[in-house]
Amino acid sequence: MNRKALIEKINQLAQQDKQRRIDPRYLKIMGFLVAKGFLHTNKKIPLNPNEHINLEDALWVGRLVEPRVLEVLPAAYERFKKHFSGDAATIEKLEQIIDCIQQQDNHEIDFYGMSIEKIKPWFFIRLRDNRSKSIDKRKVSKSFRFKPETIKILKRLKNRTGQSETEILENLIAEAESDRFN
Amino acid sequence: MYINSVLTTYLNGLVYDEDSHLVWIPKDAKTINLFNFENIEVKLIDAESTLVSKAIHAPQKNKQLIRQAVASGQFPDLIDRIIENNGKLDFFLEDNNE
Repeated sequence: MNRKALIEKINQLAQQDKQRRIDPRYLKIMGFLVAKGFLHTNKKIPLNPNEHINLEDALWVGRLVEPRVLEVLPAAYERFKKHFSGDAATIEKLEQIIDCIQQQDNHEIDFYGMSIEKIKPWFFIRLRDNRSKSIDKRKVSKSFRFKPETIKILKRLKNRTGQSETEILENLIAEAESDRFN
Repeated sequence: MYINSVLTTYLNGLVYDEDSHLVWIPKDAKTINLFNFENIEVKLIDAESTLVSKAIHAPQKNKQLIRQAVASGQFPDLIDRIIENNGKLDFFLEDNNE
């Protein structure tokens, strides 16, 4: 292809790209991901933090318009599952990625060509709302059966220190762990 | 952290990227000195060289950006510099059809 034809072809594709960037699917997905703090843009787009996202639309945007969407989509899905809907195959793929990250599994896995190394860091970022916790900071519920005397002591410690019962137990566990290695 | 707070104060919100040393800068890039602190030099690289770097090392992420830059006509040497640096120009002519 000569230079002139090459530039012509690129111009044609650039025009198509431009049209895709005003597609409602692009604006909707970007509006959501930018509002949540997963992506930044220097374009003015309406922010939609409460938007409902169709996974098929998100994949269309990621494959054809903005590849960064594929990079952050698994983390966005993991944090805001209620905002997403889609077909079983895509959801299964996303769950596999989440499992892989939770298990710290180095298994070779990708999401529509996006490697796990590129996807992983987004699971640990701090988002704009400062409310939703990242996967490593989120508390996990666990039940224990204590002797009544232990409960009394825990309550006394709570009143004395002003810490929550969970904080007291977490500190004791952390201390025990550090004693083990010192 | 200190570097970031200095840059944020002086550079209107610019952030120091911990992976800066991994960024590839084309040999013929032009730079402008922005700041010369005691331990930190802040330089601005010309836009075309930034585009060349992106085209060579992150073409997938920047496909549209490169096409947009070529189509804008503002970077007349961009195509030649991508070829000179062994970039795959054909990649930017590919379109993932719907």
